[in-house]
Amino acid sequence: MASKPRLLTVLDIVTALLMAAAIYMVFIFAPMERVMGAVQKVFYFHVAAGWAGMLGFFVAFVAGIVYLITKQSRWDRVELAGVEIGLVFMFICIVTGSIWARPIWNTWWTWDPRLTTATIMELAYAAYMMLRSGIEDPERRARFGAVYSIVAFISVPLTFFSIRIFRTIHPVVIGSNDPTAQGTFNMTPAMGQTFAFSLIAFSFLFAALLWHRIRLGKLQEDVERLKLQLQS
Amino acid sequence: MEGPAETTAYFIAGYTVIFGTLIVYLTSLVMRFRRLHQDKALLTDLQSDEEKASLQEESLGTLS
Repeated sequence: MASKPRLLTVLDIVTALLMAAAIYMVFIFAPMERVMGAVQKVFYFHVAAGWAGMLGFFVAFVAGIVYLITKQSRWDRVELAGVEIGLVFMFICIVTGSIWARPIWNTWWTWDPRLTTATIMELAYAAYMMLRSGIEDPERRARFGAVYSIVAFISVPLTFFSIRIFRTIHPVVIGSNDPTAQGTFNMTPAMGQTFAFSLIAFSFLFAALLWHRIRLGKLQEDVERLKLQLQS
Repeated sequence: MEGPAETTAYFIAGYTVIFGTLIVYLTSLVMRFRRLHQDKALLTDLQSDEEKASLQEESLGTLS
């Protein structure tokens, strides 16, 4: 396994600084929302986590296509990394959304189109991990995984646009809002800056984690190859 | 005029989930890296031992 690239070290440091700055902005810089109070601040990292999660699934979708064309195992590693990290971020998004909903909607959960599609998306990608763990042959596993990640990606635009297509109580932050949405608020400039900064910080966090997870996949492959060599 | 709703507990719960999940995932990455590095070192040692043994066998065969 090659030593850690210098660029990855730089990315780690930049990510840590951006995350620290984002936390400062959320906790100190952004003003308290007048109706919802402190829980509104969950929104910054809730949306950013949703963005990073969908980014992960998009990376997996692209890597799946490239794998099917090139048959290079590196794209399988990228795909797996994208799904794994996407699942982590989407989990954060769903759980924090539920926590926000409790005082604002007066319920932990409701089968609203956004919540339903997001849950289906999370479960579809969790099933991807189960599918992979059930296939022994690496080439077959990569091929099935690639096809699955392409098909499962349908759930991503469906989730993203669900609050714009269907009648929903979930607020739309950017763009038109359904009049029945509950928990909507108008962002002040400081709120907008915190929101944008959180999105940038999470994008960097996603990139750093993706790179590390790809390297982990390479190391895993090296170990498996050594095991096979020793067995033969 | 009424102030904002008292929702600090939910705010704390939300950020506990965010940081908790990220810490758990980062720890799992570090643990997996460590375990795989150990496995790789062990397997590389085993491989070099096997290579040495087969070289010794070859040289013994040539001598006899």
